[in-house]
Amino acid sequence: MSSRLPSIAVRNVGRNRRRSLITGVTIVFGVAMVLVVRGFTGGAAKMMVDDVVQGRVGAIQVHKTGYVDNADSVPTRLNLPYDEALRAKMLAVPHVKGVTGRLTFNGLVSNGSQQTMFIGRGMDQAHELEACPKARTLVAKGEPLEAQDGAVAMLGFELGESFKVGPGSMVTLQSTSPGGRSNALDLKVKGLTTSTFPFENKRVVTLPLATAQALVGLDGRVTEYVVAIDDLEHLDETADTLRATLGPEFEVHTWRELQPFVRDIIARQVFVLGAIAFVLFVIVLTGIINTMLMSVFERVREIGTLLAVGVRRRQVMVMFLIEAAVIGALGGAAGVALGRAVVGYFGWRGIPFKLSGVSGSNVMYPFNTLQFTAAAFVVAVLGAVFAALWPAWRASRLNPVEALRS
Amino acid sequence: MPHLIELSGIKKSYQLGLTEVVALRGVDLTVDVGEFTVVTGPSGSGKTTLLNIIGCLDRASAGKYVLDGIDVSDRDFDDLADVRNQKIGFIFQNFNLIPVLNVAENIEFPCSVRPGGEDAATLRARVEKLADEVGLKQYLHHKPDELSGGQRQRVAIARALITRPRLVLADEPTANLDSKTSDQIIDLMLQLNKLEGVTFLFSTHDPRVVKHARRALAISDGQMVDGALAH
Ligand SMILES: Nc1ncnc2c1ncn2[C@@H]1O[C@H](COP(=O)(O)OP(=O)(O)OP(=O)(O)O)[C@@H](O)[C@H]1O
Ligand SMILES: [Mg+2]
Repeated sequence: MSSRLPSIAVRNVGRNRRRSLITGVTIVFGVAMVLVVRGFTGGAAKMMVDDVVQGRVGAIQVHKTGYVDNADSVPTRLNLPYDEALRAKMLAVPHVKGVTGRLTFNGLVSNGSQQTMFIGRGMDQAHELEACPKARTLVAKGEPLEAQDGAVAMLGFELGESFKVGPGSMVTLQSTSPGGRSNALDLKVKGLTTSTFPFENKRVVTLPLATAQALVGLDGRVTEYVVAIDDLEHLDETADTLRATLGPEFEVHTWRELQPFVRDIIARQVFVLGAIAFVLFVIVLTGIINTMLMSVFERVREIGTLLAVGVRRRQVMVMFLIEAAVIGALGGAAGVALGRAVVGYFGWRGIPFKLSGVSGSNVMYPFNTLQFTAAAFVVAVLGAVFAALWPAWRASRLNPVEALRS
Repeated sequence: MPHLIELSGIKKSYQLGLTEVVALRGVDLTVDVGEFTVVTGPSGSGKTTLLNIIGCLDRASAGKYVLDGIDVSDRDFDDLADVRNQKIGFIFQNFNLIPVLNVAENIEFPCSVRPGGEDAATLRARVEKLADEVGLKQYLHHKPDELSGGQRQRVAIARALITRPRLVLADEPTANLDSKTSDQIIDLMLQLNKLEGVTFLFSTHDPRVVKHARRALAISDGQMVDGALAH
């Protein structure tokens, strides 16, 4: 390729300004739109993952082997000792930031007139925040649990509302030990919790670990260890190390395995995003094919001249492809700027996510990764080149005699 | 010395739907190096067709064509592109300058698409010399749409000469110019024919132009006609 043809290609972009602008603008909006949609779905996904990982499940959980397969029956018989040695062993694994123990069980809760099933979670308040740092922020009403709390409980807000109880009310929890001995405790409601997951709001009762242990007769034991890690990038690797460290008596699961529901929502979002991006891609591509074809028809005689003075067919083709690449790059860059400006603004302001009937709320922060932004730009450029292939090919196949006669 | 152009039995026909239009019916023609030749003939007589074949833009349906010792009758498109670039300069009726390039860049263009090529300074000097010879030294940085028709055709002439071609072909180079400008353009071509020693072959309708030529050929209904005058 000579030095002059690329420069002609670049200058040709500015020739029919209006048309290049129209093509450019479709690319700008296509790219900006993809970044915005991705920014918002990514923000929503991150909000959900944060809620799960930092507020509920933790990044990784360790159970007695067999527990998760039987989790629906809440098998308190598959329990583990809760001791400092075991905690220390897990804390020593690279990337592990915090470890806490929980006792999960089921039972019946009543307010004196109504009674319903619940899932109970005994939480070690001394370590809970190390493993689930956002647990505290998910309190809709009343106060979060503290280390010194005794005979108190937190109810999911929908459960609390249907029972017409709030901070200060009394509820009775009933449950059975693994051996089948039943027990009941009167507890004071300290507050109501909220989650993005309806199940948590309707069914879960949270209480101090010692209180839970007393209720189900499992002193000094837990059903799970919750592990926080420094960065979710290291999720699988850390889970593997834990598995190797703890041995076959323990099973290790990541939040993805424990909350397939969330994982599936995110997968669906990615799919929808892909579909939107594809539709936009096709629309923009069609636009580019159109403009490039018009450019070719408009410049038939000029192409004839190029061919006459000895420019090769392939060079004519490359010339149009370069023109398209320049339009793609300019439109892509402007689209990235626009998309990131919109996403950046909402990412800075945050979007409060009101959950129906909750007084507290989550905030979603849309964001785009650098990789995704770069990929959107590259796709814009390559897409423009791809769309120009056919028009460019037609230009290169012109018969110089016919072209010069036009 | 061998002829620069040797056409023998050149035929060309076009298929228009079911009918066959015969544009050239067996043309024999030789042109020697340094000649300044004009081809005349009525509209539709086959001038453009003949020049396109001589210019390696089109291929004859039958016959043999040897250009500068090379038989180009059966070369493929890319080969012909090279032959055109190396050996032939083109001047068109519609000037056909590249609108996004300025005068200097337009003149230089055929050299810039060559693989390899001369060094930039030598090329630049030659562009300026040619621009001077065609009287456009002051206009090197102007775009084609800032020039008059006559000036544009001067740029085209300089562009046709930049590659030091063996042959310059011009199909009705003055058809879009007024008579005074036409005379100037023909004078310029004559001058360059002497100065650069390039062979010129052009077509025209215009009898006023014909009288400038040293050799005039007539074509009618696809055949060369006798009685072509030689000055
Ligand atoms: N692409 C084509 N398809 C069909 N017929 C053609 C084509 N090109 C030329 N012809 C025909 O061939 C004949 C010669 O045409 P050509 O253009 O060579 O004539 P010309 O002498 O250059 O005419 P003019 O003075 O009008 O430019 C005409 O009858 C023309 O209609
Ligand atoms: Mg003609």
